[in-house]
Amino acid sequence: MYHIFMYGAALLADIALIFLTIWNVVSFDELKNDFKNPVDLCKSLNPLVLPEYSLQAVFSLTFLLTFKFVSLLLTAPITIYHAFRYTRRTSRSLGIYDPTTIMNRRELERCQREGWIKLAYYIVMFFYFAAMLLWSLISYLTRN
Amino acid sequence: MSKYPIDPSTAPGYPQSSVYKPTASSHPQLYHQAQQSYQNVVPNLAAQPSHPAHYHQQPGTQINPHLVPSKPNPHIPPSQSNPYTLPSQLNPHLRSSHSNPHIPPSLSGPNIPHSQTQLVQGMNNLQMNPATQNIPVKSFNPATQYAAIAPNGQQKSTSVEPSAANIKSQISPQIIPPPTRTTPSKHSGEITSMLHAPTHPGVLNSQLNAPIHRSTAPPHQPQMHPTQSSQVTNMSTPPGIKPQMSPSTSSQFYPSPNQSHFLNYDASSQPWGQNIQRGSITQGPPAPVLPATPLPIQGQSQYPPTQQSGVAQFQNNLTPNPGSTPVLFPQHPMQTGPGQPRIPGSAPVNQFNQTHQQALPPELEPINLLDTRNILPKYIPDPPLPKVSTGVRTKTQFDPYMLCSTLNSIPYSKSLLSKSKLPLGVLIQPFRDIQSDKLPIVSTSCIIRCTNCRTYINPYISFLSGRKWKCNICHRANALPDGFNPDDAMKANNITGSYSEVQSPIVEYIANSDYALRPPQPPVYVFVLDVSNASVVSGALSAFCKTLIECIDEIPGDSRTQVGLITFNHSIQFYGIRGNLPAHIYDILDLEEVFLPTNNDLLVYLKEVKESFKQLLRDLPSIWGNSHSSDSCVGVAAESAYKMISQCGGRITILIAQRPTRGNGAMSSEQATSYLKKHTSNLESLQLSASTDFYKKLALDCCEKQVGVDVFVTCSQFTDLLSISALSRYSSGQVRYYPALSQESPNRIKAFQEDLHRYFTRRIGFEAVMRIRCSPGLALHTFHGNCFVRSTDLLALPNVNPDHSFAIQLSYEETLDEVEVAFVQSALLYTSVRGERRIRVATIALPVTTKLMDVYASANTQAIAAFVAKMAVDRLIESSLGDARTGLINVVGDLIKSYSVFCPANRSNSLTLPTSLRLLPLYLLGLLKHPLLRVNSLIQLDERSYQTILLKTLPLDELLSSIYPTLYSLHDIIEKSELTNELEGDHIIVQIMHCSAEKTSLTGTYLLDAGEHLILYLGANVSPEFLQKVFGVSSPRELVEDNSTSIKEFPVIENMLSERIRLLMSQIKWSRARSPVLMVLTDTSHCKMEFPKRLVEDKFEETMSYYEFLNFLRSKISK
Repeated sequence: MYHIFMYGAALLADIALIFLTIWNVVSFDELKNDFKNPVDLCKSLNPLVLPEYSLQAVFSLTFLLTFKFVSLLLTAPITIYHAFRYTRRTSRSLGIYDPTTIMNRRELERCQREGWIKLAYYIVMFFYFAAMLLWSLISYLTRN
Repeated sequence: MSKYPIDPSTAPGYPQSSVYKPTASSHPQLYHQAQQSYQNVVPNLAAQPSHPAHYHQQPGTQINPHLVPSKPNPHIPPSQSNPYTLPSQLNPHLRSSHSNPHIPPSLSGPNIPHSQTQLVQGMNNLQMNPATQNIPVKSFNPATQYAAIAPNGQQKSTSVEPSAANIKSQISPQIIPPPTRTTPSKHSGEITSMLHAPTHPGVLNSQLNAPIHRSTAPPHQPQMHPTQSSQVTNMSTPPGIKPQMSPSTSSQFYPSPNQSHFLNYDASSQPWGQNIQRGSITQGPPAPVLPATPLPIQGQSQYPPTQQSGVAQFQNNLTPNPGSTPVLFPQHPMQTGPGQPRIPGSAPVNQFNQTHQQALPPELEPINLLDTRNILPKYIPDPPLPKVSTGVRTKTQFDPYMLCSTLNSIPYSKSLLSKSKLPLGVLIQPFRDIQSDKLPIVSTSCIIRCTNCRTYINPYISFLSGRKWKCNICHRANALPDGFNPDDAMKANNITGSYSEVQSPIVEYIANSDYALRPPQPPVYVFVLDVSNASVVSGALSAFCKTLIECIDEIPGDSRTQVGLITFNHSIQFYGIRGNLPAHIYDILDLEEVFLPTNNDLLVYLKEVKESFKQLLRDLPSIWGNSHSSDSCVGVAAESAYKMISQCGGRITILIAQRPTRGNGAMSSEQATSYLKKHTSNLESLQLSASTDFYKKLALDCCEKQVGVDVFVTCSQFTDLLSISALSRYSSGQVRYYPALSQESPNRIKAFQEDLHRYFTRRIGFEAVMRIRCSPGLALHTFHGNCFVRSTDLLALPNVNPDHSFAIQLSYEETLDEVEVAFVQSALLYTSVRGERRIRVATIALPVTTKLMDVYASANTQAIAAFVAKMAVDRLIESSLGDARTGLINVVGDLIKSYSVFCPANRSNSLTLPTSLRLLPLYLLGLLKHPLLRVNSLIQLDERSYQTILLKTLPLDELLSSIYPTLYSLHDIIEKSELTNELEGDHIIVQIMHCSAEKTSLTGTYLLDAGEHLILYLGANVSPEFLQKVFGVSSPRELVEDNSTSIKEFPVIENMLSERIRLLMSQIKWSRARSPVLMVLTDTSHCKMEFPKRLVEDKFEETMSYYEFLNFLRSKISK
C-alpha cells in the first residue's frame, strides 16, 4: 500500500524536478545568448538549488529506509553528485552559481551540460517511477 | 598530473584537410635537404671551425665574484661542453653556499670567455657582425632565394645610408595586390609556405611598431653591416620605385640579372591605391605589407653546423654566392594567386618551386637552447605584429600593446591548436595612452556599423559596388550612409583627416546620445581613508593627503567634478564640507546599519570647495594624529562610500593600513590565525581562496551602479588582501600593496607618492563597457583582468584607466575553414571626464593557417608568457601551487616535444625550439622563480595574493619585466644606447643584457629593472671617474649610508653619461603603472643579495639556474 504512495509522491516530485531543470536549461541558454545578466540569473537560480537537491535527497532516503535497493541504486549517484557539487561550491554565500565565474565558457558549458544530462535522467526516472507505481498498483489490486 | 589546457597526446603529421597544400618548407626531411643543398653550394663553408673565434677564452678573469651565485650542476658529465659553466676561480666569499668544489676542470671548457672584457668584446664583435646573425637566415631563407632584381634587370644603385628614415619612407608607398581567396591551385601550396618569408631586420620593425615608451630597436643601427643595410633597403624598396644603392654594395650582394627567375615581386608592383579591384580574401585594395620581424639576436653564437656556415661565411668576407642573395621583397603567399595582375616579364609563380621547398623562415630556424648562450634580442623586444595586413588602407603604426594575439597566425582548427601546445588568446590594453598622431578621433553623426554583427567599420572591410561595404567579420553587405564616398576613402591618406575610420586600425569615435543610457555622469571621486593608528604611524595617511593636495588641480575633470571624503577606524567619519567653513565631522559608531548622516555636503563640487577641501586634507593627519584606535571597519566604510555615490557612479579610492576587524567583511584575530595556518601549512598544496564573499558581493553591486573601487594597502601585517582585492577585481579597479611602508624608508614612501601621483592624474573613463567581436568560429573562453563579464562578449568596466589590461582566451566553436583571415575587434565605450560618450575601436587581422610551422613562426613569445602566467594564477586559485608549477613546466615541455616531432633534433644532446619561441623557457623559468610560485615559506601570504593580482592585471610590458627583469649596464651606456627624438622629447633605447652574474663585472655599474624594484648595483671596483660623473661622489660609501639602500635624489650632473642614465630611469618610471622603488646597492650594502636574487638565469638558494632548468626539461622530455 505504502508503495503506491511512495512511488506516487516520487513521480510528482520527479515532475517538479523536470520543470526545475527545464527552467535551468532555458536560463543558461538565455544567458549564453545575451538575453540575461549573470547577476540576475544567479539570483533567480541559486534559491532553487537547495529545494531541488533536497527533493532528490528525500527520495534516496525513502528508498534507503524502505529497502528498495534497485530504486536506491538509480537515485543515489545523482544525490552523491549533488552533495559533492554543493560542498565544492566556490562561493559560500553567493550559492552554487557565481555570477563572476559563470561567464567563463568552461563554467557555462559545464552548467548547460549538467542541465541536459539531469533532464534526461529525470525523464528516465519519470518512466521508471511510473512503471513502479503501476506495478505496485497492479500488485496491490491483484492481492485484494 | 594535470596539464595546461593542452592535450598531452601529440600526433605527428600535418593536418590533412586544408586549404593549402602542406608544403615542403616545413617538412623536416626537406629541411635536412635544405641544409645539405646549401652545403653543396658552399662547400668551403662547411669546413669551418666549430665555434666562432670570439668565444675562445683567455685565462685571467675578472667576472664579478660577488655575484656568482650558481653552482654548476655536478651531474653533468664533463664531456658535455657546458657553455653556462662559470669559470671556477670565481668563488669568493659571496659565492652561493652551494658552490661545488668538485667540479671537474673540464667543465669550464674552452667555450667560456675567461675574461669579462673579452667576453664583452666578443659580444660586441658578434653584434657588429650582422652576418653572424643574418647568414643562417640567408641560407635557409626563402626570400633570400628570390633575388633582388628589378623586372627589367635594372640594377639598383645608391648612396643611401641605412638610416631608418629612409627605410621608413620607402616602406610606405609599398603595395601588394589583394590576396586571393583560393581554390587551392597547383601553386598555392607552394606559395603558402612563404607565409613567413623573412622580411628581416628589427630596424624596420622598430619603425613600424614603435610604441610610446619603448622601442625595439634604434632607428639607426650604427653597427649595421653593409649586408644588413642592403637587405633592409632592398626589402623596403618597392619595385615600382627606383631603389638606390651604392654600387659598392650592390655589386657585391646582388645577383646577376640572369637569376631573375627567382624573382617574384609582381604583386607589389601596383602603385598604391590604384587597384581597387577586389582580391579574394578580404577583397580589399592592395595592402602594404608590414615587414615581419625576426629580432636581431644579441651576439648569438650557435654551434650546430647550419649556423657555422653562417659564421664562416662572414669570416670569408661574404663571398657572394648564387645560393644566398639578399632579400628584395618576399612575396606574401596570400597575396599571390590566379588572376592577379603581374608585371610583364616577371617570373611566373611556379618558377620558384625548388628554392621554395628549401625555405625555412628565420622565425623557424631551430635553436638548440643548450648550445646557444645568448638568445636575447639586442633591445627590449616589442610583440610582433601579425604579418598579413590584408586591410590595407592602414597607414598608422599599430601599437601591439594595445591589442595583440599570442599567435599571429591562428590555427584553423582546435586540433591544430592543441597540437601546437600553445595558448590562443588576445591581450588588450584598451585605454592605453597613445600619441595623438596615432589615434585619429572621428566625430560623426553616423557611426558606420555592420547591421548584422554590429562591427564598427575598419580598414579591413571592403567596398562593394553600389555604395555598399562588406563586413570583414560576418561578410554581410551593408549600405554606406550618405556623404560617405568610398572613392575618397580610398584616396584619403591622412589618418587624422577624414575617413580615418577606414585608414587606421585604432580609432576613437565621439558618439551621440544613442550610445548613452543616461546622461553622461560627472567625474565623482570619493576618498575613503584609514585613520587608525597604524595608518598614522606608518606615514601612509600623511603621504596620501599630501599627494592628493599636490594633485588636486590635475585630477581629471571639469566644473562638474565632485569629491567626497570618508575616514574610518573603529567608527566611520563623514565630512560635511561647506564653502569656506571648516568641515563638519559626523562620527558614526553604529556599524550594523549603513546609512548616511546627511544628504547635503557629503558629496560636493570640487571647484566650489577646493580650498576648504585642501585645508581638510592638510588637517587630517593632525586630527587623527593622537588617535590610538587599532580597529578598522573597511567593509562598512566601503559600503557607505558606495551608498554615497550609487546614484551617479564614480570612483572610490580606499586606503587601508590594517586588517579589517569590525563590521562587515571583518576578520577576527582567531579567524586570521586559522586562515594563515591553513594557507601556510603545506605550500605544495597551497590553494588561494578568499575568506569572505562580502567584498565580492559589494563589488558586484558597485559594478551595477557604475562605481569602481581602487584599493591601496599599506600594511606589513596580514591584511586579508585576497578577500579585499575582490572589491577591485569585479569593479574594474586596481589594487596596490606597499608592505613595508614606514617613515623610516623614504624611498618606499616616495614610490608610494609617485604611484599616487600617477593614479590621481592619469586619464580615466567612466561607465565603460568593452565588447570584443571576433570572426565566427572563434569564441571568447576565459577572461583575465579586473572586470565583470556581463555577457559572453561584454565586459562591464565602471572605470577604465590606461593601466587596465585584459587577457581573453579564445576557443573554437567550429573550424575556420571558411575564412583565411580572422579578425578581432575590441570596442570600448566610455564617458570621458568632459561628459562625452566615446568609443575606442581597435581591430587586428590574424591570418588563419593550416600548418603547424606557421603557427610556431608567428608565435608571440611575450604574449604567450604573459598568458601562461595568468593561467598559472588560475591554476593556483582553483587547484594548488604544486599543480600550477607542474603546469608551467608542462607547457614548455610539451612545446619542445611537439616541436621536436616536426623538426627532429640532429643530436640527442639538444633542446630545440624555433627562433620565435626561444625566449619562452627563459620567461617560464622567471615565472617559476616569481614570488607567486616559489615554494618558499618566507613569502608572505599577502605578498603572494598581491602577485596573483598583478599577474592578472599588469600591462604586458610591465608584466614581462616582473617575470624576467631587464638588466642594463650603465658604465658603457653611451656606447650601448641611442637617443631618438619623439614627440614628447628625447627617448632612449638601451641594449639589454642577460640576467646573469656572468655578464657583470666588478668594475661595472648595472641597473636591474625588476618591475616593482629598480636596482642600481655598483660593482666593488667601480671607477671613481664614473662615480664622479654620475653621482658627484668619489666612493660608493659617500653615496649611500651603511644599511641604507636609498639616495635622496638622483644627482643632476651635466654630462652625457649622467643625462642618459637619468633619462633611462625616468623613462622606466613613466612607462609604468607602478612606480618602482629605487634601491642603490653597493658592495658593502647589507642587502646586496637583492641583486643576485633577481638574476633569473642564475642559481639562487633553492632555485634552478637556466642551464639546470634546461637540463631538467631535457630529462623530463626524454622520459
